[in-house]
Amino acid sequence: MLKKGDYIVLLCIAVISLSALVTVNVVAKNGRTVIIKQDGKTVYSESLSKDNVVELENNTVVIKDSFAYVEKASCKNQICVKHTPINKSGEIIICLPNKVTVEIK
Amino acid sequence: MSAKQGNGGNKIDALRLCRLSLLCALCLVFGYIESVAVIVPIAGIKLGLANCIALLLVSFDDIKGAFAVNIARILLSALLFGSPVSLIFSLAGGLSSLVVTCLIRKAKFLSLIGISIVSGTVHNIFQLVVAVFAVGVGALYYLPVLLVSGAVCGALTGTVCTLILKKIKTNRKK
Repeated sequence: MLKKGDYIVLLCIAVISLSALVTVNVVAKNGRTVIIKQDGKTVYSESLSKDNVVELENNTVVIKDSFAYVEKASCKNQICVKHTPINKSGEIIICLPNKVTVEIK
Repeated sequence: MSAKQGNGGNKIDALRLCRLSLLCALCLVFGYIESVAVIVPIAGIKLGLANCIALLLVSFDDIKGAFAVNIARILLSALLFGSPVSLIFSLAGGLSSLVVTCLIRKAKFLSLIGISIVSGTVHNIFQLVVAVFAVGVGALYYLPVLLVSGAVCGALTGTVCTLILKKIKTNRKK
């Protein structure tokens, strides 16, 4: 069922995604600030090393041991809660239904 | 069923309209099932069964039908089960993957599965592009996952399509 061209396409995709994976991990710098936004407006902007629990209307964000993660959320898909804790500059956890973003700068 | 005469003398093929509407409804159901039932354990990754319909239409050279069904399905799906935000993501992914599918459909070195792999990957790439506009460069963090999942899911839907086509062809010969 598979032709020669299919394997070439699969190989290209594997190569590109591997190089992207390597690039992301090499370029990534440890973040310094946690910025939590609700509806696009910044509601929390503090150092990542400062332990804290931020209670938003529909989400609870925990900052501990220089990692940030979403502990609880009222959204249906819970993708933000299942997300692994973030600590690298540029990483971001998004709760689309509640319009909450947790970003590391 | 007979052809209906429209206002400007344009004939509307009622049979074709019915067929495409049925396919669109089927597409809609596929999309709905995926949003409710968790087929893939990774968060937010869907199988893209709805793409099967568009792929089948393209393989029968019905480009206009493929676009019509796809766009109608995206609009209906966003209206019924989604939000304005999901509409933009759906359109970006759906339209881009369909355009690319139509462009490469004649490639002799690719099987239907290969075309589906490209289709799935392009869909995810363009959704990621929209995400970058929405939340910034940090979204690129997901590029490896999206490329691989797009390819894998594309391969799966392509396999389903190939099997369906075989059945259609053997049934036609009867």
